[in-house]
Amino acid sequence: MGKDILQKLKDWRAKEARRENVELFRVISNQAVEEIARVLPQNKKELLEIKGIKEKKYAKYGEEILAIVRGEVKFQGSTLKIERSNLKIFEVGEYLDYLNEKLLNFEARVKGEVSSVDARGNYIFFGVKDKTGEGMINCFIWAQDYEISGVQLEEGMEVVVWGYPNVYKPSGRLSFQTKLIELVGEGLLKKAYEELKRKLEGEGAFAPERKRALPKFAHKIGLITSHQGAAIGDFVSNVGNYGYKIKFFDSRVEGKQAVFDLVKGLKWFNKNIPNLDLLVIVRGGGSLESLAAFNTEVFVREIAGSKIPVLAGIGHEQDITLAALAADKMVSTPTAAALEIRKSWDEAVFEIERDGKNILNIFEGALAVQKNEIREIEYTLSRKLGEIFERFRRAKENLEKYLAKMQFIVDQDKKYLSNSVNMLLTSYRRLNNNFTSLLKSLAERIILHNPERQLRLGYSLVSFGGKIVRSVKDVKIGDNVDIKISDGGLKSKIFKVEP
Amino acid sequence: MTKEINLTQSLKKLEEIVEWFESQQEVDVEKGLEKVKEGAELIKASKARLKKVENEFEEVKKELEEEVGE
Repeated sequence: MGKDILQKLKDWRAKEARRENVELFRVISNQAVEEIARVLPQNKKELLEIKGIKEKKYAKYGEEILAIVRGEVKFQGSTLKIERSNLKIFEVGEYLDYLNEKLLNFEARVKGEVSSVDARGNYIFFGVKDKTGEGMINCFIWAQDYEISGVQLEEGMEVVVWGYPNVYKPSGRLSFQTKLIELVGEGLLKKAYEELKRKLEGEGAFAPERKRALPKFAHKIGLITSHQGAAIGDFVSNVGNYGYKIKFFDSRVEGKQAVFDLVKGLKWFNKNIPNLDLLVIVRGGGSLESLAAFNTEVFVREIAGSKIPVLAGIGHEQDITLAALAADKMVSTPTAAALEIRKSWDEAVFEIERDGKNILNIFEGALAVQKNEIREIEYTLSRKLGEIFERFRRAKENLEKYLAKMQFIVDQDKKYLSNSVNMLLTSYRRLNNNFTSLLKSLAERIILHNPERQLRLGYSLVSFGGKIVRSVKDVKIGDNVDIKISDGGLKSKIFKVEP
Repeated sequence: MTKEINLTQSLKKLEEIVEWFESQQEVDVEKGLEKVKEGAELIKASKARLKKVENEFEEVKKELEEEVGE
């Protein structure tokens, strides 16, 4: 029941908003709608207790809301009843309300020539008439929508107005509630495009220095495009699966009417999810007319002013859309936009592989160098150690050699010594023999020369004072001398000396 | 997503490690091992982040959220 009422309330609100040409929440807040459906207020007092419904709102919508809650739908569904019975008598205002409600169904795009313009601050009255013929319609547009349309109305200008008819209650006059004014014909569109481009360019809206670099690894992404059409599919299927959080804002993209949704989308994201990494606006290519919304000043300014960086993937058949020119980055298709986003992710996969390999390679190289060094040290050490052993070995060898040599010398000496003894003995013996024979010969010679032998031969020896007298000078007259002869001695006295 | 890592920073750090290795005339093995460990962690985390993960796709409820901040 409550759910049914909720839907009815929402339907009513949607119609009301459209009739008043305002946003849904301007009629009554979403929260309030749900609260009403839950509480089901039965009278004014109860309705006023709902948050968001004050006297002013009550005066405007109170009775209608209460009627819906009570199940007495005032207009919707009552049409048939009225027509069938044909009994109901309307008050004038009531009838006009009824009529306006019906007139909502006559929404249209009407083409004609501007016949008059009457700006009154908040809104503008203007007339549109047939170029040839008698038809003429009074139009009304809010200044805000006029601004969005971005068309400077001039008498004689050919335009298409988009809206629905409505009878102004106080005057009973029919006016065309205009939501949007469009220019007609490629020529005019092109001219308007060029003018706007020049103007925005002059303001620096497309200047490269005000463009921000798109964030690497965009993760939270706001996507603005149409629910229908190829663009969304192209984008989603090409962006890759990197766990993006894509918030999608469904927007019309065809024709100038799309400007409302597009502007709303941009505003919505900037207001509700300002920490998005990136806003993406995509649309396939099209004619100047079908891309009109993307060349609308309001939208272009909205892009230029977006706090969230904007990536535009908007196709175009002729001129690049001004929206794309104002974006931080533009590519020419939805697919290209997707690729632009995934680029850094794809590269990261590659870079990580490469860096990992580099690190390992270099480190393994370093390890190999180290291993080599260790091996070299090991080798050097073992070589040095070997050298020490070698020296020992050699020393031992030398020692052995010396020992052997010494042994040899000792042996030699021993032999020599024993030889020497023999030699000595022999020499001695020989010497002895020699000596003996010498002695013998000496003895013989002594014997031969023995003075006593001389004496026996008749010679005598004269001595004085025990000394042999060899010279006349050895004695003087009167000396007593001894004369020795072979068989005795004689004592004599010198009496004469004869030299 | 189990753990959000800053991929940009991880890549930068990895790049720094690679540069460190490349700039060393002679890599100190102890230090190198530390860097390799750090790099391995970064690679692990980054790979986990780069693993194919289904995207979340959600259409915004304009009607509901329109009022935020109004």
